[in-house]
Amino acid sequence: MKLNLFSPLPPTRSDIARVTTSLLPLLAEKAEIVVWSSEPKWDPAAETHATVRHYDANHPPWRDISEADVTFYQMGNDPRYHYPIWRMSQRHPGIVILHDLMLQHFFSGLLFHNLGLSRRDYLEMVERHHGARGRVLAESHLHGLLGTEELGQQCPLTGAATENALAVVVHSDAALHLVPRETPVAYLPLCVGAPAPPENPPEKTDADVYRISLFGFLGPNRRVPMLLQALANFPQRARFRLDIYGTIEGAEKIQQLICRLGLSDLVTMHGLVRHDELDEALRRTDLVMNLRNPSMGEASGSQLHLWQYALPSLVTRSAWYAALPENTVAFVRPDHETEDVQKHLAAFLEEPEKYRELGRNGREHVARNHSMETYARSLLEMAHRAPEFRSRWIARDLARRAAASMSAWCDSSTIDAFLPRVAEQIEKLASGKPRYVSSRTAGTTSTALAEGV
Amino acid sequence: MRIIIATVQIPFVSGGAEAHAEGLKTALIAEGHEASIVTVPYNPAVPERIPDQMLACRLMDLTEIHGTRVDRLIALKFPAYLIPHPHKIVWVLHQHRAAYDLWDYPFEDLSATPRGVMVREAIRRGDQLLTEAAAVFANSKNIANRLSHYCGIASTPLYHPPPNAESFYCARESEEYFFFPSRLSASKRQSLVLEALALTKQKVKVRFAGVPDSAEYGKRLRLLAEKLGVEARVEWLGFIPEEEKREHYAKALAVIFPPVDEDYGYITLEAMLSSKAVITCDDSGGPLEFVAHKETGLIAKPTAAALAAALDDLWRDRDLALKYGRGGRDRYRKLELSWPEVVRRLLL
Repeated sequence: MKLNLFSPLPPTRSDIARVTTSLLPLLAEKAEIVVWSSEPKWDPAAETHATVRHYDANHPPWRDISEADVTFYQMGNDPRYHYPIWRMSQRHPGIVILHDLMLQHFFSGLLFHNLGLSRRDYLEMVERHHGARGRVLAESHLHGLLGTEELGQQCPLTGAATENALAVVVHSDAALHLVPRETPVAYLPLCVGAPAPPENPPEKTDADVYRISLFGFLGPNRRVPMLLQALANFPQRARFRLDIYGTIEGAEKIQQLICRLGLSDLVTMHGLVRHDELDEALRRTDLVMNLRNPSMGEASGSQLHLWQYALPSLVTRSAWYAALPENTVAFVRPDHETEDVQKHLAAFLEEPEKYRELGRNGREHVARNHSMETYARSLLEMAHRAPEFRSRWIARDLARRAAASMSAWCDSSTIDAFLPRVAEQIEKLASGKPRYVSSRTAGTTSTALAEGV
Repeated sequence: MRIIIATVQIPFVSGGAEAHAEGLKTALIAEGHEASIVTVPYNPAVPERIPDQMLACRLMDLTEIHGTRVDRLIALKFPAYLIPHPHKIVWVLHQHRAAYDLWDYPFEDLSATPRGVMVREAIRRGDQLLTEAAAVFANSKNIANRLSHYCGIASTPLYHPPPNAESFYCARESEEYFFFPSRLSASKRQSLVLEALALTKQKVKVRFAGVPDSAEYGKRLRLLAEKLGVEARVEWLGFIPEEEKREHYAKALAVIFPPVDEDYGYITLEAMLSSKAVITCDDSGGPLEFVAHKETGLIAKPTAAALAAALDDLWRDRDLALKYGRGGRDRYRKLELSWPEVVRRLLL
């Protein structure tokens, strides 16, 4: 079996790139893999287990791409890395792996960064997927009256990312209903993005000062101002140090807030750091803040990663996080961040071991449910189902085109009258199964029902 | 019986398939049946729309015309053979080969289009509906083998005579040329013949008859001939009427026909009827069912050098060419190809 995988690759600073790199050796055990990169350069390590090829989304080498049995697309929210991947997925149907469900960031990003989506195309897309009301909200967004995240909650544009997909992979139960009904969708628990740390995380002991970490892409839904408020108003705040790693939206304002709250001695903004630096930092960390409000819906690679270090974490009780086992994380109620975080900080100081236990349980949970081996095996199973997915796709595509043709000259009642016959023939074509097999080819003297119909 | 022959027509393209349908219609009428050809327009140049054309065929109803039952539907080509009928007989002249053996051939477009994989899947699944026919015949063993290999569908090879078979003849005196009548198309490999000409030791001359698939392709062949320095030994006759074609057959030293895995190929049979040796290649498909190496012609490897050697052999030894030509004529006679026999077997 030969698989195409369209994905960002290191040195791109993307968790998805990291996941892909980790998966390659496992996928390569069972299939020939071609990774397609829109970036002209990549970490040569990726070529150990796969052929890596560059493509230009304006002139893709279709003949070479068509050689594979099935194509996977790693779809995330960053327009810089995923725009070429999305374009390819629109034209060459494959299995789309959704790492984010709220793709409003992605699509409006294409517009704002002039990456290939016009204002008109964007508004039409929102209307197609979320109706006239969605369009009105999107227009408000374009006029600066509505934030991306607020719009994303009502108009996630998940369907726009999966419009031509053969099938979709999601990483949370909650995501299943967000993918348009007609597309086959599979829930695979997200795998860790990197192998477990070679050494066991150091045993943490009680200390005078504890380190809290916050890392990843830190948009408004990560509730950074509320966390700072919580820390600033916490009586024993001197017993914590907060380290912030990653890209933060509105970094300057956050820095000003830190000063205003008198937290300059306690909070350090490290900016984007290398993976190995982050890993080293996690080994020194005692507690992680991993809040999402609102949630973007999908499983969190960051959560899996911090669990690999057996770290306790505070998460928002919503979307994917809400379904996490109670003995693996400490929950914070949406919109009660300051109050709940303070309670947890107090409880942590009281009984740090209880929190460390959550981290250890999380580590076991991730090893048991989110292994790369299981994930790679599941992807390969999906690949083997490609003919079945194609059959459904062909039926859907034919139905859509037939309906479009008929609607040009039929009213709805006429279309309704034709539909059963059209549907019957589409089903036969897409399945390749005739209803009746006639005598001479069937080897009998009478018409016989074909098998399986 | 009232019989419909269902086939397809690519606008502006005419060849053996159209003659085949006409021949069948004439034969059915000669056997006392009422026959009509239903031709579905087909445009494979836009691969994404092929499934639409398949669906269009599935939605046709030819079971009754003006209140009178159609007793049989004989379908010949993709996607016309998808038209449903309770008494359908398929005589496969063409599948859409780009979905099968020609998928990765450089001159086929399907794999080079974004949704080529999807269209291929649709065609393959659609072809499974061949099993709903009362009987499946193939135009040649080559096609039957492909149907079996790629689709798992059993079929019976059924040969038929080329159009106007009785009109072919052999002239008393040959002229100094080999004849290659066929559409100018990458799959027919006129370019290979030009390359071979450049390598022949004899001053071999070739007359090509037939229109190009596209003006651009015709131009490309002429440029190739110039580039190889063989243009003086080549004649491009373009379209020629049937009578003139038979005359070119009759006066040729031999016939060249080295296509890529041809389905059937009237040219081989027409050459045999004209008592001409046939030079073909060992990957040419249909012609190999009729050409016996060193008995009715020569079968070469599909390389310019090997083909050049075969051309040289028959150019140099005219007696040998005559001998193979006579062998071809005898072999044709033994095949006992006849339209009444075809009709009998189709309607059995």
